[in-house]
Amino acid sequence: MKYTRVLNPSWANAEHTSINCDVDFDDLRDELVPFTAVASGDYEHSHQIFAECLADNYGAIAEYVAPPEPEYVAPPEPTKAELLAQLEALTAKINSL
Amino acid sequence: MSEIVIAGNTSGSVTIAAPDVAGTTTLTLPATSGALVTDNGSGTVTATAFVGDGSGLTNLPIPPAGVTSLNGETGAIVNTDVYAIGSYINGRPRNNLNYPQGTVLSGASLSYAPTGASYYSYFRPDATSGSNIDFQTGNVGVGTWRSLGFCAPRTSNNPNFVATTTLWVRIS
Repeated sequence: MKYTRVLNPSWANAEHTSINCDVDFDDLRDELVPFTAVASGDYEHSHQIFAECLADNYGAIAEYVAPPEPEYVAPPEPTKAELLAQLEALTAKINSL
Repeated sequence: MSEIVIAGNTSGSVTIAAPDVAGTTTLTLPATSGALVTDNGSGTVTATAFVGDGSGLTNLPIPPAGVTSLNGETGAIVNTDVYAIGSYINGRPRNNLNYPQGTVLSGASLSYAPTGASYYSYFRPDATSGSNIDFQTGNVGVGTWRSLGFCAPRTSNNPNFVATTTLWVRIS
């Protein structure tokens, strides 16, 4: 794919095997899209952007920043009233059988 | 060979000729004004545009060299290899937030739905710690992707359904 601009390169992982950047591709309506470029094993434009970033063509590559760990919010414990309501509903269901 | 010769206004002439073995054929001229397109004897017809549904075209090369749009859309000609441009994955961003349809992310920010824990299409809390969501594995890691649906976070009233996924299509 042809592109005209590459901005904001940053390492996409701690191993420095891929680079995140914003790219203006000719074929996309979007002005700039986030893109992850790799050195090999992908499309030619990906390899080319990676090499150009590595050559500092688009400025220094910012260091990798790990994404924050997703927060797991534990569900609230049911209250005594809620448990009694569930018990009552179950009892009614059993009695109806 | 039967011929009709039409002289030019100032010089030269145009000859309309039937082949020696002509069969019984009819050449109907268009009812509108315009110039006929010829191949100049080369077998290649050159014109600035073709207008039609194209349904009868055959023997087109794959991929069609020089074709820059299909069905009114520009972009790369797609295939269905995993991670090819135009291919799909079932995934979600590497966090526990809402994402609307049409979200565009880099591959490094996207994880595909895990396998093994469940056949359902959602992320579950990490089985080991019971407190983390395993978004860091299954990182897509290449290209640009656009969501085709809504990615919902975990809902607190149902701990088993964590961070629902959607389809993502690679666009670059």
